[in-house]
Amino acid sequence: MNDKDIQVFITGVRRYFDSIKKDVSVVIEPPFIKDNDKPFLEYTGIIGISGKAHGAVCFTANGVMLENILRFLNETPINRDVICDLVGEIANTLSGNAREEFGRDFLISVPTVSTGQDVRFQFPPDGRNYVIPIIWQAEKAFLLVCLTQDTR
Amino acid sequence: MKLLIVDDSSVVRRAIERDLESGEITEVDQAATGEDAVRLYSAKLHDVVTLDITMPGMDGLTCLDRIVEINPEARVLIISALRDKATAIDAIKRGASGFLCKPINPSELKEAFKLLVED
Amino acid sequence: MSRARTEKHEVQVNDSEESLASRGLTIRSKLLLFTTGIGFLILAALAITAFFLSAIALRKARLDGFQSLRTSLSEAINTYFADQRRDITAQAELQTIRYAVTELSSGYEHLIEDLDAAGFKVDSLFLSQLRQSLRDAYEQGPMADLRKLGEHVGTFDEFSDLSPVAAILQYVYILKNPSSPGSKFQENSVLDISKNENLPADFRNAFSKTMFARAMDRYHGLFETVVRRNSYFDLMLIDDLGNVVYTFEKGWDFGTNVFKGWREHSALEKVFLGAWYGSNASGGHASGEEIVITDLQRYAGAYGAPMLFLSCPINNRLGGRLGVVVHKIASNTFTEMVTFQGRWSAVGLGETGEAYIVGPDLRLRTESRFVKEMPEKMKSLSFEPDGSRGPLTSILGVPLHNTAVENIYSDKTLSNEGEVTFFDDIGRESLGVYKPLGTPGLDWGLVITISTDEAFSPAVHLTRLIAFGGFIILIVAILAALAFGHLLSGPIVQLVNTAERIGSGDLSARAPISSRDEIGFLAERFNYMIDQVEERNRQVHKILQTVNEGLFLMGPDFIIQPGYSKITEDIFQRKIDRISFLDLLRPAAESGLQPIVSDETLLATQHYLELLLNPRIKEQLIQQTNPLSEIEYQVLQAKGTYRSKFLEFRFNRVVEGGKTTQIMVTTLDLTSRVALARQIKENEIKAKSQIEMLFGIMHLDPPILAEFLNHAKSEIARMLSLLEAEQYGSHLGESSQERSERYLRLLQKISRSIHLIKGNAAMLRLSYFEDLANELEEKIASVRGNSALAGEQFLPITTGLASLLDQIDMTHDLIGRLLSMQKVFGKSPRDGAQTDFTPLVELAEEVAERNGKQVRVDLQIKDGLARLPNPLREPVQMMMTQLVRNAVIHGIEPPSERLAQRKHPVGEVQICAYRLTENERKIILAVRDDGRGLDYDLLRQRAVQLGYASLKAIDAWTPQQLIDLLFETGFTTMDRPTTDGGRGVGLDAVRDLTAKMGGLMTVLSKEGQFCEFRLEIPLA
Repeated sequence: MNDKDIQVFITGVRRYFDSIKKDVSVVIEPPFIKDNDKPFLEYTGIIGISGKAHGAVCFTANGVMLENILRFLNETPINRDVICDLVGEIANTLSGNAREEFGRDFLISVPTVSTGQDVRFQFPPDGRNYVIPIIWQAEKAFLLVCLTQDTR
Repeated sequence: MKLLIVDDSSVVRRAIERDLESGEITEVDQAATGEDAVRLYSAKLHDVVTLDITMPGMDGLTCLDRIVEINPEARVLIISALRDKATAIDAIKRGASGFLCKPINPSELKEAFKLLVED
Repeated sequence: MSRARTEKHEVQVNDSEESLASRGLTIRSKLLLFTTGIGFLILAALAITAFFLSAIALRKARLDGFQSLRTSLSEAINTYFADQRRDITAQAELQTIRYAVTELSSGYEHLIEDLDAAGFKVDSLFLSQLRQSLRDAYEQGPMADLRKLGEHVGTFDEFSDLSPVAAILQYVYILKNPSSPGSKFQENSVLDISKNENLPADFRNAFSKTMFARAMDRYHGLFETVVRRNSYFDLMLIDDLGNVVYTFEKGWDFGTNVFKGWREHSALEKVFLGAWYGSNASGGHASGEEIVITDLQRYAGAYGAPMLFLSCPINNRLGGRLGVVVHKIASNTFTEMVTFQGRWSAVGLGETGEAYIVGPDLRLRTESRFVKEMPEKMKSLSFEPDGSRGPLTSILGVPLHNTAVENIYSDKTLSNEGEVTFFDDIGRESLGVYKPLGTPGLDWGLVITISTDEAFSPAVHLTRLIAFGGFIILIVAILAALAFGHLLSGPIVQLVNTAERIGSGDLSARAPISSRDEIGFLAERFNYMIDQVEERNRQVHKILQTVNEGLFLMGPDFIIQPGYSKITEDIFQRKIDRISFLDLLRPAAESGLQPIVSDETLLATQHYLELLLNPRIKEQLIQQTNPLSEIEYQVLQAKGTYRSKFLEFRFNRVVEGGKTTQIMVTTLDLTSRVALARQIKENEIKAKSQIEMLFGIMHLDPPILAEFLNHAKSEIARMLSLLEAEQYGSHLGESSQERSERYLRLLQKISRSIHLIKGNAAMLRLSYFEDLANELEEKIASVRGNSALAGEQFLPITTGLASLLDQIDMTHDLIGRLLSMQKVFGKSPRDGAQTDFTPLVELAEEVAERNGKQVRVDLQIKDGLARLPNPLREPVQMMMTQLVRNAVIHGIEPPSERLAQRKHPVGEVQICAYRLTENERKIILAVRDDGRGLDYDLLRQRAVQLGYASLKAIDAWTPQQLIDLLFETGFTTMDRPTTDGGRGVGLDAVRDLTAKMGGLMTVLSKEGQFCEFRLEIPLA
């Protein structure tokens, strides 16, 4: 995973939040690497990646941010199911958008949603886990990019 | 005018429904899977269908094939997170009337819808 | 060994031969049984035929029996008549008879005279009384009966026409006879008469004295005997005048004249006349021709009972007629003859047979055995001899019109004698044998009948028995045949069934060995053969189970045949038998299965396979065009993710009889192989870089290297945690400016760490790390250059840190192996006077060379500081590195410049390390170069350039201030940064470190002469 690859995701994040509310800025804090103890927040949407790269892309956020997003979408009622739906959908959108750069061989799965720290997913053991901190409306979220690229 | 919204996310479905709410649309059906979509479409033959691609079970493009099989004149608008050109071209080749990328903005969606039902 | 085996084999062969022989015997015996059975059937058929024939014979015998019965019966009847004729003839010739008839006739004639003489006058009154009484008797008796019989009777006078004598005689012997009717032959003696109270006394007295009475008395006893002996019904003597002068029976014909009354034209008259006027053949002897017989007819004198008369003239010696003797024979005489006293079975007439006599009027002359069963219309009334009503009789009843009877009297038949089958009066089919009796004087016929059923009942019975028996035999024979058939074919059928079952795929089927003949042997062999096949199948199955490739066959239609290796299913994740290979490669969209190849590849495959099927193309020549020699495809996993799989397909023709009948497909799952190849390639690259690295680090002491790496790693970890922590630095309402400044601070921290690492790497001459660190430094610098810093701009830094980290890990790994290798080779790491400062020498030289300078390093390491204490070592090395570099880059001039200044072209760098005092726990570290020394003017210039001070202000700066500038991060006197320096980081790090260690740093300089950096570090 090089800068350009991670950059794709960052672009996607900006694009997504812009679509929710144009003028509200999204702040990307410096991305870091976290190989153990991934920083999962209250809700996590996970997309499995295969094909050109293997691993997962996860969007994890607290309920407050997700609720805010839902309000912007005029979604009612706001309950747990709907929040889970959204977090999965965000992960899905961000992963799907990455295909713009990676191509159609960047195969994405349907979303898996987890809550809390106990996230059960087979993350690839090798490869670095990039964490992109996102701050939107004073709420924090992370985009985790845990991918290994297949060399040809 | 009958509208069928196909997406595995209920949030997305409701969002699309809200965006497309208009006097023209008399009936709205929602489907969470390709199979349900085909079933509903074959029963009601909606005027417009919005269709996601990444869904569990039958994927969106197969669903598209089915719908086009039922009615070659079907007006299907793909609304998908997959941003790569190849997918878009494939969808159009297979009979989609249009392709929008998530995240969608409402005005874009409304525009697309208007274009779809124009003739 | 082989010999033993051969022997064993021979023994085995013998065994089977023996057993076969023993088996052969049984089937032969079965065949024998079968043929015996056939023979038996034939015999049975013959027997049945024989029995049938005997049935016929039985019939014939029966018939013969009847015929002989007929014969014997007719003979008996004729004999009877012959005897009767003889007897009557004999009687007629008896003197006694002559006397009797003469006397009785005379007495008859003179009766009235005699009575008169005896004292009784027969007057008309008496006579009329007699007649009156007689009339009553007649009217109530015979006349009434005869009327009932339908006879014309007429009046009493007409009927009886009794002469006075007749009347008197009937009065005495019948009317007033005290005996019961039918027994009037009793009380006929003179004595009886004289005592008969019914008679008037005078009369009886007179009568008993008459000649007639006396004659009666005299001869009656004799006649009684004759009658009794011959079973005549009656014996009569008729005189020459036709007066019935004597009858035994004393019926109503007694005393009458044959020519008068009912006697006229009766059988009695006929028989009298016949006898009287018969041929006078021989004088004195009555020949047979003189005897007259009348047929049985109703005789009024016996109340209408049928009577037969026999008469014979009584002649005197001269041949003159005296009278006629008449025998009356009743029908029962004949009936008895033809009824065998009821012993029907004895004569073979059983239940339904009878014999009877008929006359020319076709009426019965004897009573039918079945008179009771006969319809009433065929029967007539009868009266007993006493006049009482008798049973209905068939004698002289309705004429019988059955064929037998008719044939006797028929003119049309050839013979009046014969056998016939007819239906009798009761409608029963009967067999009849018949013949005319041929009795002289009588035209009688004899018929013997029996129902055919009974006649032939034994035969019928027998036939039935035979038929039944034959049927039974047939059944038995059939069953036996079936059983045998089953016995023989059963095992065959079982064998066939087993073969069929095996043919349809059930290889577990075995033929039951149920017989010990050739069939059983065959079954046994068959089973053995199937065992072999099964065993072979098992082996093939085992092969298919264990072979490590996907292996299957397909026909020219590309349909995959069942029976493929187990792995095949694992590879394709489903059962593939009977589906098209093309469908397997690219399933229809509806099936929801993953396609393995694209449309184009599928087409190419189809073309290739068609080529393969073409016999004109050589298989080997087209191997290259196999489009499936190696393909990659995506397999959908359970979680919705895809996984790459690599497959290799090989195709081979299966040729049978010169034609390609099938294609054998082998599939190999290359995924692991490909992964392995990739792994190898990666490892190669890794190894390559590792070798490079190895060369790069060979000069180093592994522990030293290890330390560097640890330090570098922890530094990077620290930097990453700084990055991670950075997000927490944000606060609500933070402006972008504030953020930017925050990021800047982070950048500074990071850059310092990197610079340090770089320095260390340089010192150790780890160029690889140096380069990486340098790259990172450049990235940091470019980021720094931006006015408004954004978080994502840190991305290259993060990735750079990551790559550095990767490099460190790789090297670590390598070192690990080296260390272990070193242990193996047992090489001592400690060699020569290696100090902690030694690397600095090389560093200096390297840097010098890189920068076009020449330098010599003078190491002055004292006080046991060759090996620094552990906590000091790293920072000291780092700092020293920095200082040495600085010295070479900034201090030492190029050789040309040195020469111009009359300095030795090779610069000198002195590195000192010593303790301040022996006791004090402080060390001095110094790096001194004999170069330019600090150029304050340059410093001033630089300061202004970099914006630290204005042109004007800079003049005011003291040398100390300028020196301080040196330690400012980012300050450098160089125009462009190089690997070694010019970035303005290094001295500040040194300063920081020194400060951290609680030390002092001093700078000494003389322009154009030397520059010395001195560090005073406490040891604690």
